[in-house]
Order: sequence, then C-alpha cells, then structure tokens
Amino acid sequence: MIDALLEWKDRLLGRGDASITVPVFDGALKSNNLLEEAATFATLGSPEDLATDGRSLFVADGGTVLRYEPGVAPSPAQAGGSPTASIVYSGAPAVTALACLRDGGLALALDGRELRIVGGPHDGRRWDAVGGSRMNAVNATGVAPDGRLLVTDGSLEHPVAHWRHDLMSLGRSGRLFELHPASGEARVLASGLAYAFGACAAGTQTWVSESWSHRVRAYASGKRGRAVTDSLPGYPSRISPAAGGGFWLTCFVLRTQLVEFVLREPAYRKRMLAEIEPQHWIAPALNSGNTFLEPMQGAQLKMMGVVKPWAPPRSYGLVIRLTEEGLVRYSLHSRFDGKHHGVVAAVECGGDLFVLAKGCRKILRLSVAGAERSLQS
Amino acid sequence: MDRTTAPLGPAPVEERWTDTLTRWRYRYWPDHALGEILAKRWMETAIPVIVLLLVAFALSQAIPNFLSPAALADTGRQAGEIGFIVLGMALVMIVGGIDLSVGSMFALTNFCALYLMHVLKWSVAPAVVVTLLCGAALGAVNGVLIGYFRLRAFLTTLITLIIYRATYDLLTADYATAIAGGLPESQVWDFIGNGDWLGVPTVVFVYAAVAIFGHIFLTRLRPGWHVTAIGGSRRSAYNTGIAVRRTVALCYVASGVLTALGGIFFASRLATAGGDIGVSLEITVLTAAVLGGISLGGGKGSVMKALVGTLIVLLIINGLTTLSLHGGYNRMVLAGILLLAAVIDIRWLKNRHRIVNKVYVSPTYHGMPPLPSTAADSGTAWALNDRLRPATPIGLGRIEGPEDVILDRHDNLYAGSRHGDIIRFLAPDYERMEVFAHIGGTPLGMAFDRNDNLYVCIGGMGLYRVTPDRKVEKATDETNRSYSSINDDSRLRLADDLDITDDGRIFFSEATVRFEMHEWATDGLEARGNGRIICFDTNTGKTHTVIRDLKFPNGVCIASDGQSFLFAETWGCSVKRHWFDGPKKGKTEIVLENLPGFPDNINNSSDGNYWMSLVGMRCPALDLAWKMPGFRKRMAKRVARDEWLFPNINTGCVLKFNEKGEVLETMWDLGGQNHPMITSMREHRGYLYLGGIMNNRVGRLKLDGADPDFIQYDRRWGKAA
Amino acid sequence: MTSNRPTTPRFATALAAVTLLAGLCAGQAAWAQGKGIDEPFRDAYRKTLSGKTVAYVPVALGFDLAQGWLEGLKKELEPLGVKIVVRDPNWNTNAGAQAVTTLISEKPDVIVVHNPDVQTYAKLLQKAESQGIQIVQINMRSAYPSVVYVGADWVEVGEKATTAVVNACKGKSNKIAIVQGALSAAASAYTLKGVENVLAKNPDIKVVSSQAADWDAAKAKGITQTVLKQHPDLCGIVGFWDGMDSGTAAAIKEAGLTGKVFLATSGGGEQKGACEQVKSGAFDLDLSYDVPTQASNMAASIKWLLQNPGKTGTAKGSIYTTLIPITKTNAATEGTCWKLGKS
Repeated sequence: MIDALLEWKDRLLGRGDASITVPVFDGALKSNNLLEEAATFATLGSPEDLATDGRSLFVADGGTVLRYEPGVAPSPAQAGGSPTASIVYSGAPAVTALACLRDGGLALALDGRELRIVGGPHDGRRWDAVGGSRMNAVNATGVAPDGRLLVTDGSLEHPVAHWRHDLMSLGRSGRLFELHPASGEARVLASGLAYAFGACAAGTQTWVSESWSHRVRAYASGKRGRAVTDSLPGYPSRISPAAGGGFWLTCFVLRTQLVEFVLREPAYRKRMLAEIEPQHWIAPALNSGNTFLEPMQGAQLKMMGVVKPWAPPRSYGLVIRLTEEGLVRYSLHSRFDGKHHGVVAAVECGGDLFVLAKGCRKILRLSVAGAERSLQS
Repeated sequence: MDRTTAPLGPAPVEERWTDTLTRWRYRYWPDHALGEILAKRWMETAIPVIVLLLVAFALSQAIPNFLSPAALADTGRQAGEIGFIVLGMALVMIVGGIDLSVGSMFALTNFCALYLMHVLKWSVAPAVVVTLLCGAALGAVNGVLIGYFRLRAFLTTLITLIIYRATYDLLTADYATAIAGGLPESQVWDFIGNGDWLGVPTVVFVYAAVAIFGHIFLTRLRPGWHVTAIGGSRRSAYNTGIAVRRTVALCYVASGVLTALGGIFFASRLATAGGDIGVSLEITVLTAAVLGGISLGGGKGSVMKALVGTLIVLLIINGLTTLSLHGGYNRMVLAGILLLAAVIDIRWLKNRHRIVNKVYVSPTYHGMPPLPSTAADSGTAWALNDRLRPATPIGLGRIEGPEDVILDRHDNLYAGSRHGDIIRFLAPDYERMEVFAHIGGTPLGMAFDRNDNLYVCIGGMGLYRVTPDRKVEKATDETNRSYSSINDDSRLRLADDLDITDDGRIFFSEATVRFEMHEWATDGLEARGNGRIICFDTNTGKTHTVIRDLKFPNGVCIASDGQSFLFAETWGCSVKRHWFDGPKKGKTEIVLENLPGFPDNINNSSDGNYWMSLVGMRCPALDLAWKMPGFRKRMAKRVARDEWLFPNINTGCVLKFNEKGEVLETMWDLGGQNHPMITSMREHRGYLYLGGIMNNRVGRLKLDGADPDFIQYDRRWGKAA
Repeated sequence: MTSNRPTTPRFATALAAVTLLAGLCAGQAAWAQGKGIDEPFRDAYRKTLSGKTVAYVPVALGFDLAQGWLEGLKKELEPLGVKIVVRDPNWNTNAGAQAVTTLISEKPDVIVVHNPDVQTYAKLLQKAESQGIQIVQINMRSAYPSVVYVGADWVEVGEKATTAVVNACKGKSNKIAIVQGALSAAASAYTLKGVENVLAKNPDIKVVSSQAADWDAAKAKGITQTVLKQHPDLCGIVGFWDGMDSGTAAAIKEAGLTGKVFLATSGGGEQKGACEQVKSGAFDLDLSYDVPTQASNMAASIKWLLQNPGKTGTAKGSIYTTLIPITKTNAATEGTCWKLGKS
C-alpha cells in the first residue's frame, strides 16, 4: 500500500523510478573515438550478424552468409576494395542470427522465425517453436562450451526489423531458449524479458542482454535471473566471448533523456506510433542525420559549423569489454559526430575485433592489443 | 545513407475532436499568468504576507474584538515601537551583520528619555534630540568596532549587549525611584506616547514616515544600493569602490538611532524603568525580521518585509496573551512559528527561481496542417536540391554569427557578429574585414534609410542606427506598455528584423515578450503568440505597437505597393501582409501558410519578388508535440534543457515567393556542409549573399539571370546606381 | 352525704378545655404558615452580582501569592455567578501593560491588578477608572490610588524586619545586607523606606550591600554569595520576599552560615514557602501577610463594589493586612500558614 502510494507520488513528480536520468559516460565508459577511427574491413548491403570459429569470419548479409579469411592478406588487386569472401549459404529469407557450432556447421535464424543448422554433424536440424509457442524474432545465437545453443527471441509481437516498435510499446515478451543440436531438445530458460537480444555462456550461467531494461542478466539452472551489469547507458545487444576471458558486449543504441521521457508519456507515444513514420519517431536509431524530418534535441545544434561530440545521440557506436564477472573494463565509442553507429555484433578473431556497425553497413576491424594500448596511454 | 525524405505515411487530415477541445481550453485559460506573477519581485514577500493574513484571521476568530479599531490602535502603538527597532535590525541584517544589543540599547535610551523628562524635567524637544544622540552614540560603538575594526558582528554586539545591560542596571539602581517619583507634566510628551490623530496613534504616523523614507532609501537612493551591495558581497563591494567600512558603521548608528526612537515612544507611553525592560527584546526583533523574510546572510531585505514580520510577531504575542495562555506557552508558540516560517521562507527564497522556471513555461496548443512534402522527387517547388552547394564563403572562421547581411552601393558587405560588432568586408574580394561599429548585444536585421544610415535591430537591446561616419545612436528601446500584460512589455527583448517605409516609419518585429534572446527555443516550445510588430516613427521619435500576439515574428519587408509590409512568423510557419496605409489600412492577410519550415528574414529580389530564408525545417515529431501542450509542459519540467525536442534549425533553405503566395523556387544545401542554417539572404548585383546566426561565414552565390545592377535599398529609394 | 347536684359543669369544662385545646392547636398551625418576614435584599444581591466580570492581572501566575489570591477570589465569587478572567504577563512588564490595555477595551466590571512597579500602570488605571471600571489593587500598589487597595503595609514590613535583624545583630559585627526586589516596585521601594526608618535610629548598624534581585531567587543567591564572601561575618540580611529569599537562604546555607546570619523576610505565608522554611531554619523571621485573608478582603471589597457601581465617587480606601510574624515558635503550629490548593 505504501509502496503503491510512493510509486504514484514518484510518477506524479517524476522522481525515483519515474525519473528519466541516464547514466553518464565515466570511468571505464569514458568516451573515446576508437570505434570511429577503426578501419573498415568490408562494406555490405544489409549485414545482420557476425560469427567466428576462431579462424574465419562469417557474416550474415541479407539472405546470404559470407565467409572471410581475415588472416589472409588481400591481394594487390583487391587492396582498397572489399576482401574476398566466399558464400557459404544463400537463401530467400533474411538471416537474422548466426553462430558457429563447435564441431562445425552454422546455426542460422531465418527471418527470426526458424533456427536451422547448416553444415556440420547436425546439418538439417531445425526448430520453429519452443515450449509450445512459435519463434517470432530470433535475433541472436550464442554457443555454450558443451555445444548447446543459447538463442534469444526479441519479442512475441514484433518482427526483428521492428525493434523500435517494441521499444516504443514497452514490449516485455522476449525469451531465452536453450537448444541441443545433438538431441533436438528445446527449452525455454526465461521469458517475459524486455527484448532479449544477445546471449552467451558464462561459466555455468547463461548471460542474456535484456535490452529495454538496459542490463545483462544471468540465469543459472533453477535460479531466477539476476542482473550482472545494470544501469547501462545504452540498450545492450549481442554478447560474444573475448579471448583471454571476459566478453564483448555491444550496445546498438543509446539511452537519452528525451526517449526515456517519451517512454513515460503514453498519450504522446500512442499518437506517435499511429501518425508518424517509424524513422521519424522520437526513438533511438541505428543511424541518424539523414533527414531533417528526424527529431532534433537542443544540444545537437550545429554552432559555427561544429557539432558537439557529446550531444545526446540519436545513434551511437559502443562496444564494451566486460570481465568474467561482468564488470566493465573498457569501452570503444563512435560518438555523435561519427558514422560508425548501430553496433549489433562484435567478435574477436585472431587478435582483432571485428565490429558490425549496422548503421553504416560496415564491418570494422581493429586490433585489441592496439586499442588497449591507446586506452592506457 | 538515404538522403531523400520518405513520403509521409499514415497521417490523419482532419483535426481530431480532442485536439479541438485542447485548442479551446488552451486559448481561454491563461496558463502563462501564473508564471509571470510568480516572477514578479514583490512575490518574495508573498509567504510572510500570507502568514500574516492567516494569523490575523485565526486570532480574530478566536478572540472577539481582536480587530476592533481600539485593539488595532493599541497593536499599532506597540507595533510602531518595536517596528522602529526591527527597521534598524533589518538595516543591519541587510548590510550583512546582526545587532544583538538592541534590547539593551532600548533599555538605555528609554532610561535616558525618562531621566531627562522625569528627573531633570527638560522640555520635550531637547530631550528627544539628546535621546536620539544617545542612541546614535551607542550604535556608533558597535559601528566602529564592526565597521572599522572588522570585528565579528555577532560576538561584538553580544558583548555590547552585556555592557549596556550592566550600565542600565547600575543606572537604574540609582535613579529608578527618582524616575518613578516624578511624572512630567507635558502635554506634548503625553501626546507622543498616548495620543492619536483620527483614531490612529502618533507612533504609527511617525513609523509610516520613517518606513516610506527607508523604502525609498533602500530601493532608490545610492547609499541604499550600497548597503545591499555590501550585504551581498563585502569583498566585491569593496572592490567596486564602495566605502564599505563607513557604510557598515553608519548602519549600526542608524540601528541605534531607530532603537532610541522606539525607546522615546515607549518611555512616553509606559514611563517605566523596570529591571526587565528590553530583556530578550533582541530575540523578538530577530524573530520579526526573519519571519518577514530578511535573510540572515545579508544582501536581501526590504522595509515591507520588516513591517510584515513586526505585525506577525505582535499579533501572535498579543493574541496569545489575550487568550489567557500561560506566559511560557507564549514563547513556545512564537518559537514554533518562527521555526516553521523560517524553514518555509528559506526554502521559498532558495527555490523560488527554480519554481518560477518550472512554472513559467506555459506551452499552448499549436495545430499545424500536415507537412507538405519536400521529397526530391515530389515535383513541387519544395523538392530538395543542392543549389546552394556552389556558394563561396566570405570570412570563413573569422566572423561568428552573421544573422543578416547587407551591402551598400560600393559593394561593401556588412554583417553582424555575436560579439556585438557590425563587421564590414571590403569589396571586391571581401578578404579584408574591419569592425565598422561596435554596438553590443546581438545585431540582427539591418536596413539602409534614405540618408544611408544603417538601421540595425539589436537582440537584447533594441533598434539602433549607425550613421555613415560610424556614429552609433539609439533609435528606440521601448514601446508602449500594454495593460493586459503582466510582464513589463514596454521593454524590447528581441528586436529581430526591420524595414523602412517611404515616409520614414520603421516597422520592426519583436520576436517574443516572454523570453530573453537566448531562450528562443523555449518560445518555440511554448508556441504561444508572444511576439509583436512595432512601429518607430523617425519623424516624431515615437514608438508604438502595431500588431500583437504573433508567433515569433521575424522577417519584415515593405511590399511593392508601399502601403503594406510582409512579415514572417517563425513558429507560425506563415507569411502575412499588413496594410498600414491606404484603403486596406489595418488589415492583415495571409500570404503563405503551412510552410514546411520556419521562415526568417524577407528581402526584395531583383525581379519584383521576395527572397525568404527558412531557418529550420518542421518535423513530424515536433508537429505532434505542438498539438499536445501537456506533453511539452512536462518535458520542460523534467527533461534537461539541452535534451528538449527543439525546432530543427540544423537545416534550412532559401526560397523565392511572390505576393500572390506562390513559392517560385527553393535552394538547399543538403548535408549542411556550407550553410546548415540560413537566417537571411540579400540579393546584390547578381549575387545572393547568405547569413546564418550560428554559422561562421557569409555565403556568396552567383544567381544566373539576375539583374547585375540590383542594389536593394538604392532601388527602394529610387537612387541611380 | 350525697347530694343530687347536676354533673354539667364538669362536662362543660371538659368541652371548653377540649375546644380551647383544639383552638390553640389550630391557632398554632395557623401561626406556622405565612408568618416569617422575607429578607428583601438578597434577591437584589444575587441578581446584581450574577454575570459580572472580574479581571485578574497578577505580575505572573506561576507563584504562590498570585495563585492563592486567585483561589480565594474564585471561592468567594464564582458561586455567585461572577466570571473571573485571568491574564498572565509572566513577569513581563510590557506584556502586563498590554494586558491591562486590552482589558480596558473589553470593559470588565472590576480589574484586580498587581502592579509590577509604581509607574507603569498608573496612567492605565486612571483611564480605566475614568471609563467606569473599578480597580482593586492587590499587595503592590501603583502611584495612582484607585478605589481600593488591599495589601501589606510595606513600610511596616520593612520596619519590623529590620528591627528583628538589628536585635539579632546585638553584640555581633553589626553588618547587614539588604536584598531588594524590583527597584521601583511598591513592595520594594516602600519596604526600603521602612528599613531606612529603623536604620536611622540605629546608626551603628552598617549596610554593606543593598542590591535589587528583581524577585528572582537565582539572582538573590548570586548577590548573597558575593556579599558573604566579602563579609563572612555578616550578622543579618533583610530580604524583601520569601519567594526570592529561598535563594538567599541557599547561599547562606552553602556558606555554612545558617543560624549565624539572621534572615528576615516577608511573604504570603504559604506552608511550603514560609512555615517549612522557618521550621528548617532557612528563614529566621517571615512576616506573613496571609494570602487567604487578603483574598477574602478583596472578595469582600469586590462584592461591595459590584453592588455600588459608579456610586463610589471620589472614595478611595486602603485595607492593610495585619502581619503574622512567623518564627520558630509558631512555625509548627497548624493554622499559622495556609496551604495552596487546599483552601
């Protein structure tokens, strides 16, 4: 009763849980330009996900899965252009999630509705429903050391491409599945998540990015999920393990006070969803600055031809390195005045970090050691 | 990256009935009044006055005849005596000190008056004068120690309290009985303490005179300003050359004199030199001062506050005594009220600005029709293009904030800068630049008159002119005060653009009367019609307001018939035409409406049409927000200002239109490399010169097929090139 | 000898006797009805007094004298329907003046006033009486004489106290101290005159200190401590009020001089404040002006005044209380002192 009253008071005055403050970039999250300065590895049409088996890099681009050998130097004729890639899979429905299985083969999510294994000993295995309900927006797959697939399904109401709709309607129907390629078993590990977008195995636990709650949650067998990293300044997306322990956590969009405010204004949101195009909503985006029909916030004003890099961003590029316990070690940024925004996947392969910036449709490549060195200096 | 604008999707066309209701509600209820009233300076005294009214009301209910004339007269008598002391204490507190010895000074001056009248049997006038001097001397001790020797006020006056008290005890031990024995037979003396005129006690008249003088002194006279300045910051006051020590010492002397004045009236009324006179009086006086809202830290206070505090304290004390309450409760209740009032008052004083800021912004309903399409393939005149891309920069990086540009017949380019200068770029290469005149503020719209005076609207200052020999003169900075406005709208806050009629009248726009220049975006958030068009007549020197309640009027341009002018409303996204002469005098008609962006300056083009800039473009999210004032109000309160939804002025364009309301062509700089935002453009001899208030350059674009001899103001005044 | 005389006369006698007896009885009964005389003055008395207002303004309400007077007034007047209104200035002269001023505008029938000094209320009382309010001054009077004063004769108090101290000082150091009340209070100033009267006749007695303690026990204690330090051979102190002189006695006790320094004081004669103190040896002499007697004197005057409003003309009178000296000999006797709350 008291709690309900306090909550009502908080909502009325805009305090406590109803306040719209956003964590600042400080400490290990201090802004830098490393992601913006990273070299472009490849430019693609509509890339969706990355995966690696340690030697090669697999990219889901539309309905195709490409394979790159980054260790191989590009031939002189190709210098300046994209490196050569071989097509590993091609199909009609878009590939929305990609993972490399331990013993060979790829796990693909097709249009978010079906998970299929292609190649390797479990070739042909597919799932399209788990625990009685259909898959709807499968957007990420992680692989556990014992070969299980940890699959996240973003939302029951909106497809993968309509993640913005899910955010603006305060969706909470994300799910985390555990699939066994060997036996074909499928289990729901968690449901009712506020947009699950990224999962990986961490020791005995399973970590999942709960995007709209801006946190990473850990699930262990039998226990309820607890937050590993909470109060992130952005909405987290896919997680992948890092060499030498820890994880790479990507944040595909950032939180801003205005978006937080609009999320608490049901009347405005309803009309906005009904009357305005999604790309002109007050909502985060994978890229920005395309048209003046996008909403502008005060600090984004250009003065004397210069725009502030620390302005509240409509789109942003952020990769966070977590330790094994989930603490932030350092981070790589592409700020408001940059172009490498909308990072949805990052995998480490051969000492280099390959980052998929969906906002500019590029794969970036930077050396982990080099990044850590420049961060220390 | 997709550069084209997407076609507009699911958009309703008719106004919803909820929007109609919202529109009516916001039109007829004056939300903005609350913020404007709270922002008034006299609102600081609001809380104490409310407390006073509450106390008076409560006591009048509890005690019959509490507010009868006789009782009021008596309260007035007491209030007058203590009131003088509170005035003295207030003065000392405003200067940053405190005077704890007022109680003892009161006792001593009371004794002095009684001794002179009862024992030495002097007549009234010398007795009064000597008592006042006695008070001055006592106060001077404090003044010298605190003002000149820089001792701490609290400790020093505490010590003088003790010394004066002891002096009083010694004196009364010897003379009390003598005083008690001899009653003076002076009518005048009696009249001072017990007389009244028209039912009002004498002391009230004297207090009123002193209070009025004190108010004028503190608010209008220089020494009073010095007192407040010293209280605000002693070090800064010293640095500006104020005689700090002398002023502080004189304040304590004044406190002594005022205390003596109170003592004289008290002596006349009660004629007692008892042992408890003035004991704990300093507490009562301090209570009165703090209750009234005079800050203990110094620098804040007024006579009105002292008066209100005195009345509150007296009413409470008298009321509680009349209620037969045990004496101890009196003190407790007073202390409790003091605590409560001080807490509330301090919070109010500290947070007043924050509260006012939160309450002041009063967004209203502003419904716009659906956005016209600006897609590159739309085939309309609005289709996006890159025609401004070839513009060459002038003064790149060397000029900041040229809102308007103008050229004279020698092709020299004049542009304002955000440093308050009019910068002149010399023809023909515009490489050399010099400060033509320094005016201050933010120079905005410019125009030449017949005699080549350059008239400039200065944001934050008013309408100024620069003569050809570079003398800066003020044309006008105020207009007539409208009676329906709570804010003082006689001041010009944001004079924006101007144009000059053939007979020497200048029509200029004032963008908003509710906000200062740098808060233009808040005015956009409010979307209330806060702006007006003002006319300054150069022949008579008079200024008056022509049109009111406009939504950020900006560009002004005299139309081709010479009897009307076109003006743009930035948040209204429209261009209107107003006739000031001729058969249609007084009418206003719409020329352009539902523009896809925010219009800024308007100037003539060589082919008889008009150039206009759109300083920014509308976006669907803002259009929707304009229809939901509650949303905007909450956003203004809860979201940091830097994060508000702003009108997007990162992109602009230049358009040409005619008086019939047809848009003939538009020119854009997509990508915003050169000219992200354009506030004005001026055609001159076949080139178009672009200015932007947040840009660091002036742009120059060659116009194909334009008249190579066109000079705007020469053409206007009929001068040959 | 038998005669045949008739028995009728015996029967007639009996009949006559019975008739007479019956008639007597009837007559007796007839006398018992309607033969008493109605007292014609009591109705007017009750009607006049009922509904009148008496206001009471002591120097403060929080001590035995003021409370004793109030109790006495209430006991006598409230059963008659007289309303008693109290104002408590709590030792503050200014507040007292304010209270009296307000009362004047409320127009009670009588104001019982206890003056903090001879000056402050003088004009106010004059104004009150000119407006028809009757003023009864209790114990401390003002320079303005109102219609009735009930209270101690302070000069007598001073004389008696000083005489006792002088007698006690015979053969000792002949140094005495005086602890006054508030300098311009009637109780203090007039008492001092009485003291001076006796001292004039005893030139060998030296007054080493004469200070005002403002009726405050702590102040009195402080003054006495200083005096005793300066003159440890002090033989007597004249204190002006027992309520304050509890402090004087405490100082004497702390200096270990109880019994060696003769303390003469005066007061209302309340059990705790007077008799107990004398019994314990703190006071050597306490002149009591017996509060209950004063209260009943006041009540009597008020009853008389209420029946004769406006007819007092220029009449002014004082009713001085007879003093009861309380010493060790009678301190323990029941009835010497009165008890607060039990009268």
